[in-house]
Amino acid sequence: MVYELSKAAHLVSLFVWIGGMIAVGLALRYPAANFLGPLKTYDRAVTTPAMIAALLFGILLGIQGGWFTSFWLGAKITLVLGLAGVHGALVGKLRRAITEGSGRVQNGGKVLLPIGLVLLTLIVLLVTLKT
Amino acid sequence: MIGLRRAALIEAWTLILLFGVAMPLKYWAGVPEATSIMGPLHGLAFMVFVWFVIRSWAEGIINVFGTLRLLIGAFVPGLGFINERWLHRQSTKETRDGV
Repeated sequence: MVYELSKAAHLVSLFVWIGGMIAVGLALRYPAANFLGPLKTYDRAVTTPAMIAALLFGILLGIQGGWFTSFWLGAKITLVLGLAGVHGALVGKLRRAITEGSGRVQNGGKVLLPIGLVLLTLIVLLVTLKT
Repeated sequence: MIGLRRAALIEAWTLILLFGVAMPLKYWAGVPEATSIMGPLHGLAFMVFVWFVIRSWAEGIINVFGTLRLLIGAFVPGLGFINERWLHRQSTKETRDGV
């Protein structure tokens, strides 16, 4: 039961995290003057805590399943680190856009979201196949 | 920069505890549970730290040299504390210069 609850919490956190990342990526690509500030607040209050929760519940699942010695989990953790890096880069660019006060399109929205999608696909493949 | 400094400190402490307490307990005292607890904790701290480093780099708070310095420092026990002091000096300097 604890395992199933951890899995549910991991997935919910992951969905919220990815949703927040997509919102930041789109906001950088199509900047709207009054949207960047509230998005930064949302990211700080919801998306980043969801990322930390997804990592935490992922670790709990790895411990419960005894998978920390498996190759697939090592590869998955590396990819998750990359996904966290993509999120960090998106948030950094968002904060920079707010500080500079410019409404210009940031390159991050164009490049980082496809990279995130590729990483997410590989992560889901690894966790589904567990090979 | 305060978030990055805190993350650097937490990462440095968990690495010290992993190498200085948990691993000796596992290999010299036969307590494998120590690394089972500290390993995942340090893993979480490391990932959050990397997130902060990349965010700060993308925001323009630190340059490529600073980013590499912080990331390399995360693998060497004790270096995280030196890097945290370096971040503190950077932040003080920026405040003094009015950046």
